Amino acid sequence: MKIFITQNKKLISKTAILFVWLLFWQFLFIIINKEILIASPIRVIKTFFSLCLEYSFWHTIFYSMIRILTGYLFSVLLGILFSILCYRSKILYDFLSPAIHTMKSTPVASFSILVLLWVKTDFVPIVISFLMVFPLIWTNISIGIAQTQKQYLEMAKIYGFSYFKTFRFIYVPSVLPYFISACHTGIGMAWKAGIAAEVICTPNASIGKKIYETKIYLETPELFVWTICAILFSILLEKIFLKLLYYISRKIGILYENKNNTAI
Amino acid sequence: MKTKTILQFDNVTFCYDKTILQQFCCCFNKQGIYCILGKSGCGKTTFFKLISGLLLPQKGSIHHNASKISFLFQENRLLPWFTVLDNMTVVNNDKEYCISILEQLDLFHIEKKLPSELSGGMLRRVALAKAIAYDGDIFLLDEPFVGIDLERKQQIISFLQKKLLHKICLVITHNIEEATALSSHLFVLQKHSLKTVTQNDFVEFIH
Repeated sequence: MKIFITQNKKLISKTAILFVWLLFWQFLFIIINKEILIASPIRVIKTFFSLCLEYSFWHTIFYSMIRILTGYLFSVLLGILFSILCYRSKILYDFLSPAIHTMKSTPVASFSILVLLWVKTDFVPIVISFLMVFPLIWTNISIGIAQTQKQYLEMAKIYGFSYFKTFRFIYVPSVLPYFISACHTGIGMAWKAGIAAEVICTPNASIGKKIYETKIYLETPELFVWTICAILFSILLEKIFLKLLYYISRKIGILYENKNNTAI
Repeated sequence: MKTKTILQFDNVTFCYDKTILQQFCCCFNKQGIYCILGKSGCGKTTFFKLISGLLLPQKGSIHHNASKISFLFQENRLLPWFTVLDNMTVVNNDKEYCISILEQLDLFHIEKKLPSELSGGMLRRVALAKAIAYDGDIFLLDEPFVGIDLERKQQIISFLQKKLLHKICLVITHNIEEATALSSHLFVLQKHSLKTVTQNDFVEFIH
């Protein structure tokens, strides 16, 4: 009962905060009074619902999501693989380190234009989300491995743990918080970078192309709708992916939690 | 018949910044509990790490015929993501045996608890239970009674004396009462050898 009341309170307070922001937005719209600069919230909501009824709207979101998720999943898989390989080989670590640091600081626009010269426009968002997230996953897992406590590894050595047992019972639980944090940050990053790449390369059926078109035709309400959609789907993806990650980790027995269900 | 366990140091030299062991020789060829005493920083833990193979001697050699060594580290080194029982079954798959050790050490009621939920004394007992569960041929116990109250200490001492009767068990302690209660074999670690001492000698060494 107490939990229910607390949750209700939270919901009411969140709704109130959202309402205050909507009021502020409406207030700004009234002051500026130019739809080309700022769309009214009512118009944006109306446009949103009318777009929701169109097949092309969902088609666009679906394809953008598929492209970005493909890049993201590749970055997660290769990030895991290369961080393990780099842990095993110092030479590989030294060799890859400068390239990965360069990837981290290169702007999305430069990458997008460069990648566009090499691959079809449809594939650019995949490559860009990969390039943006891969360094993050690689760095976090590498830090996680390096932070694995030496005293547990010594204990494993004394008690005759096999490589697999040491990996499964010491490295995985030590690295998992770093990995989950990277996946969490990475999904938002992939989404933002992917859409930015779509705006630059304008592949068919993409949120980025829709945003680009709103700029060309000066359709500010639609620009707002697509931006809000990008934000909403980013939050949704983040939540679904994290839940999925926790679920899989629990299922394969690599997530250890205390009584409050918080990961250790 | 099981081969008798032997542990031998031959002219072992080991240094960090200062020399810890120099042409050090010693031999344990009889089963029993041996207490190693000595001032802080004299190299007792290093001595254990050399036996266990975590450190290698810079000169000389260490021989033993133990296939397994149970090492109770100075820190408890329990995996924080595992329960008490899981911390034990990770070193010995025989769950029944692990439970019996927990029961003998009066720890069975906390088998499902995580290390973060236990007091210092309980953690120490669990770490000791884990070392026993591994059932090595040589036991290295580095300050096993830290944080354990007097009554429990007595109980654990009699348990160890029964359990480790047929093993070579080396115990590091700073407490002469603990040492004498555990064993009649008392040694002080010196640069070149282990010096046999009595309770009175030990007081002299410390001061």
